[in-house]
Amino acid sequence: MAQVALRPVSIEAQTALALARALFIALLAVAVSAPLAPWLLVQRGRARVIAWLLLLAPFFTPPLLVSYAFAKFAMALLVSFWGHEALYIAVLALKLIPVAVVLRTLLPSPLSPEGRHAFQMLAPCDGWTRFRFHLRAAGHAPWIAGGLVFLLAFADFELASLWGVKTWTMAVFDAQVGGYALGATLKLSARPLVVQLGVLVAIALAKRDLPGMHEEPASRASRMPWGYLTFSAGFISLIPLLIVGGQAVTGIPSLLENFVLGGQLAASVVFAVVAAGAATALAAWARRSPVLQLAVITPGLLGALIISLLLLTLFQLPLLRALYDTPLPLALALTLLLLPLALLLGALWLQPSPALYIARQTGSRRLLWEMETRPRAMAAGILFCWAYFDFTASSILAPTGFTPVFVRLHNLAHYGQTAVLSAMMLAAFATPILVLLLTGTAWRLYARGHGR
Amino acid sequence: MRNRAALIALGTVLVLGVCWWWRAAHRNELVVYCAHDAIYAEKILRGFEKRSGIPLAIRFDTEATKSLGLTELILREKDAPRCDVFWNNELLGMLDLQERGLLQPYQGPGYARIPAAFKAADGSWAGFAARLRVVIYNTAKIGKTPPNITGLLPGSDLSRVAIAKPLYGTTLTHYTLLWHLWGGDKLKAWHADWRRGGVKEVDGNAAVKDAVAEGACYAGFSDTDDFFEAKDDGKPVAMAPVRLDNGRTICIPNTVAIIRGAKHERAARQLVDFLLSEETELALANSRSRQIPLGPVPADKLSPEVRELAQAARDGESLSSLGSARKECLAWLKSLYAP
Repeated sequence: MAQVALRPVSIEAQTALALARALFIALLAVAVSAPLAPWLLVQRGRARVIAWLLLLAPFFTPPLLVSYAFAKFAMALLVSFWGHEALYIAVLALKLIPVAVVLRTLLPSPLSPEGRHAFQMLAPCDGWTRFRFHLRAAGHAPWIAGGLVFLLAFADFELASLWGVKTWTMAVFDAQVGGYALGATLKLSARPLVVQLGVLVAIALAKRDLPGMHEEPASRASRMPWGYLTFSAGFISLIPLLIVGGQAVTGIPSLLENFVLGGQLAASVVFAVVAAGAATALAAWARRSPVLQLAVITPGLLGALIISLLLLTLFQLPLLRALYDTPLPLALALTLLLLPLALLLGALWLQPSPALYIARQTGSRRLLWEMETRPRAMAAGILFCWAYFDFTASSILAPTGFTPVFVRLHNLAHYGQTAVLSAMMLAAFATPILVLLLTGTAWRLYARGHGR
Repeated sequence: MRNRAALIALGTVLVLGVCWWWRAAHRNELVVYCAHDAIYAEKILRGFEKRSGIPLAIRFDTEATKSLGLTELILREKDAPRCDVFWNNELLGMLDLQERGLLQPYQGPGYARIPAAFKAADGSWAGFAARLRVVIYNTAKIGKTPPNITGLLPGSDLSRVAIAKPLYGTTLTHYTLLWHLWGGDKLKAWHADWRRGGVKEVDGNAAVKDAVAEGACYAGFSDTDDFFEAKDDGKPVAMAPVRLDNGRTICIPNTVAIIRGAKHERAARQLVDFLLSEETELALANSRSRQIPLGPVPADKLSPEVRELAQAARDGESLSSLGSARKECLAWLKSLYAP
């Protein structure tokens, strides 16, 4: 029998593929966020709340819900490489575009509305000049937003693994389950890591040079943004929820009869609360020095898989062995994974400013709520949700018998869609919302009771 | 500054205190690593827990990393094992652990009722409740005659045929067996032909089942338990056991073993005997997964389907001498999938 050469898909090729995808998604995010962010800023009242809810819903819809709901659709596309690829890119893009939009609502444009208006009055009307002008007028915000979306898309593991997409994170995962030593796995992920660090440094440099804030003018009545927001929230959040909710109706009685998820839901909430709290505290501590910031965010950028494997090895060392089968390794892993996001949110929302100083001096409760308490609460809520929906670190580091709910759901999801499993999914997704609502209500009652 | 140091000290003490409490509270639990599907295994294990009064802490695996993930974890934990009993859903990982001296031999009443072909001579592990490797096909797409997908000629269009990534699970066992019977060169050539033909490689046998059941693919390699999932859901599927060139089938047992250094050896022995008992084999045979009993069980307690499967399982190729083939085959697959 003649030897047949079968060319393996190298880690470089898979990295290049992930790079191309991430670049495309980042560019798309920058393009979509350009008109959307200023439009969001000028919305008022109920329209503003609805617009923000529609915008953020896809980002907070866990990949497991989307892949579970669209399992049959994805299966039908299995035979078409491009169809499968297009679905993955579309879902990932729709989930990550909100990140770019949020960042661009928070990051300033260097040009005042007056300057923009003057340009429109005076400048020649050719498209290239206009494009260059808008690019410059936007300042560094598009690059920062695009860079962050790029990082998130490039490091995606969960959605890729659920749909069997070829990417470097999957190659690293295969290497691990195939029995590679940790050193070999780390070597495998060295190049992707260099790419991530490069983008991160670029973001940090761009952030440093940001000038003062100017709100870009936008029309409040435009229909295009509403169209986009309805489509993205409908496709990523509402349709999957309706599919799962519809299936769950008949499964809810069986689930309530034998509610087996209590322990796992509790585990998820406990780990998420601890990790969100620890990450917030560490991020606040690290904010004092750029070196500290870099030190605390670097582990998180390695990704959940690498961090978990490193901690697994670390807690096997004789000195730390006694702490191995406890909640500490997973709590630590989640904290490390949350730190980059915690620092980013802190940098965007929790920076001391003259306005905040004045608000503190005047003791205005409303101002303090708007400028300090609410951003803090939102940041904590986002971190909580991020940790709650973790799968990778939980599956590797959870102490035996105290496993977060998504590990179990992932395990059950391969049996296909059933009424009871859909009810379980619904319960798992409703829990963090319920926790946040209850916490918010309790906080308000407390504040009211204490005259705040 | 002093306040901050006090806070850090307090935090450290709190964390260590929680860890100490945690370990103390879970000291008596028998730790079970289980690669078998949680949906079937949990009921069995909780039944044991209720009857014996021994509290269990169970770690299940996810579909994609099934069996190999837990085997790897046991290897990583070899200096400080936390697993007492390993219930694997295949054999090769167990052979690897046996070769590395990580299993504690035990020959109890459960071991005694399992045929010699399905257990280690020294009692390191024993098999029970097996499944067959099958070709699953969509009857709405290609009719009721089983397709001979193993014998397809080079150059055939395989774009409607699915197979799980052979890096883990029972597909790895399948490939290892082919490596053992054919030799590495022939398997590599066959695999290359399949890839050139456009075979759809998916993440696990369940995904193969889904692809075939939904009609995205017309046929594929899977296991009997996955086939019955689709059949019970009313999908238009049928199956035929995979027959090797020598006419033998591929019968893959669940396996169970006590990990060397287990902290609860007496309780572990009780669980191993329970899993190898007639009662457990019957429970798994009569579940949706229709596992094939390996020890003697009354035939009238089995469904006709399982009796038919048991017939085919008797033609099963021996798997217990595949240790070296597994290593070579896995090394090749790793170079292919995680280069």
